[in-house]
Amino acid sequence: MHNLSVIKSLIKHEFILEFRSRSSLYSTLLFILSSTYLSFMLMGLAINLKTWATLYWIIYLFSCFNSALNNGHLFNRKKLLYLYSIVKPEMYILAKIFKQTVIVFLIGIIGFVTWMIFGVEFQNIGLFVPVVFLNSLIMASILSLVSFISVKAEGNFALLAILALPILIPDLLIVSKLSYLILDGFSSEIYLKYIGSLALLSFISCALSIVLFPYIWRE
Amino acid sequence: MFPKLLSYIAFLILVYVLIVGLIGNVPARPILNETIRNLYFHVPMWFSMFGLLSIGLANSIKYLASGNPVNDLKAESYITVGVVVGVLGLLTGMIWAKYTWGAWWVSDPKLNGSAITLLMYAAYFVLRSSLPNQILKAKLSNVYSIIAYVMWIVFLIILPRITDSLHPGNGGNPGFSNYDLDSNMKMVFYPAVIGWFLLTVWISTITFRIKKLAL
Repeated sequence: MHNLSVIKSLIKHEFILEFRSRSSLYSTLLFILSSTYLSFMLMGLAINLKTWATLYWIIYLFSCFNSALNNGHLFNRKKLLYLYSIVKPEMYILAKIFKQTVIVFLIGIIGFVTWMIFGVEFQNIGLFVPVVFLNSLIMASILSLVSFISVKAEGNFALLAILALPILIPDLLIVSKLSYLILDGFSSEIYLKYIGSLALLSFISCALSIVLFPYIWRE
Repeated sequence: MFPKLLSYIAFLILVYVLIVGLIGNVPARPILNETIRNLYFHVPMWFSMFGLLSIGLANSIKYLASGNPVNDLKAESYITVGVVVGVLGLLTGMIWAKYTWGAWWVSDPKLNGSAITLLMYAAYFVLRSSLPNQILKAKLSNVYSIIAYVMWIVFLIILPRITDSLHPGNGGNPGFSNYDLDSNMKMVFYPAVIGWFLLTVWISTITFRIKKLAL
């Protein structure tokens, strides 16, 4: 019970930090809207769903990188010392994953809705939402850990991208294939195994980040 | 320390593999022809890479559990040699692909998979080189190498199910074991796997000793 209340207040704290440095949130939003609009202008409505899925997930990936970089408060050593003394690392990373999942999920949905407003036709939209959610969970857990690594290494966007991109490739391959199959209206037998592997992957990445985070959070 | 006896054994096995592998009898298959001899060099590279990266993973976990810098150096040495062996596997495979499939590079899950693996471990080296502090470097890079290894295994399991492969045993192609790998070839292939693996482990231990001296 005590742990739960700690996690709750940590989550609240994370959201407050996120909204305090709103410029990052806005820049992520602006990034996804403008790049979606740019790709719509380049491709038009003649876009087929396979190309669409590739474009959508790559734009989404870079928006996630953008959003994961909003961790300037981690540079504040005094505050980190304070956090060391009052919370367990597992709780901290859980709260961080929760916040990041909510944010990148919203970003993904906003991007998707933008495409719908432009008039691209999709089927099975109801099933696509949980896929975006699962993928947000994967992105959030991997990027929370890797952005912490890149902060400790005093790296910038480039280091985060170099470290995170290769390990996110399996996830992107599955999810772009899956979303193409879902939105093109294939029958569920074809894509059921992809949903299974996506769920497995999200479990693995969450577990990895919770298990490994305690080793890097103290110097 | 690598047992001296094992290094002699590795040397003898590889001399045997080189001689018998290059002049021994192989079945004449259409398209493959003499390139089938590459089996003794290309395939063991992948087995060795898998073995070395697994030993590297074990050392990374040991480092995180104990904090002993020796384990960090060991992990780095095994991963370094594993990546070199992976590059060699890619090169031998490319030569083989040119003479059988007609192109240096094809979009094949195994090729993509190995290229991505090398990318992941290249990122590991980028991370290592960007950190001057020894302890921080060891911690962060070992955590990263564990993530990379797990994602690599996931990748190896998932990827072949998503796309078809030109490799034997995938996408409706018969495996080598069905008819190509006759008993003559097995006599060379299995020793080749053992020999190359022992050699690369030996090289890794030497790399480790050099790194330890430089520390």
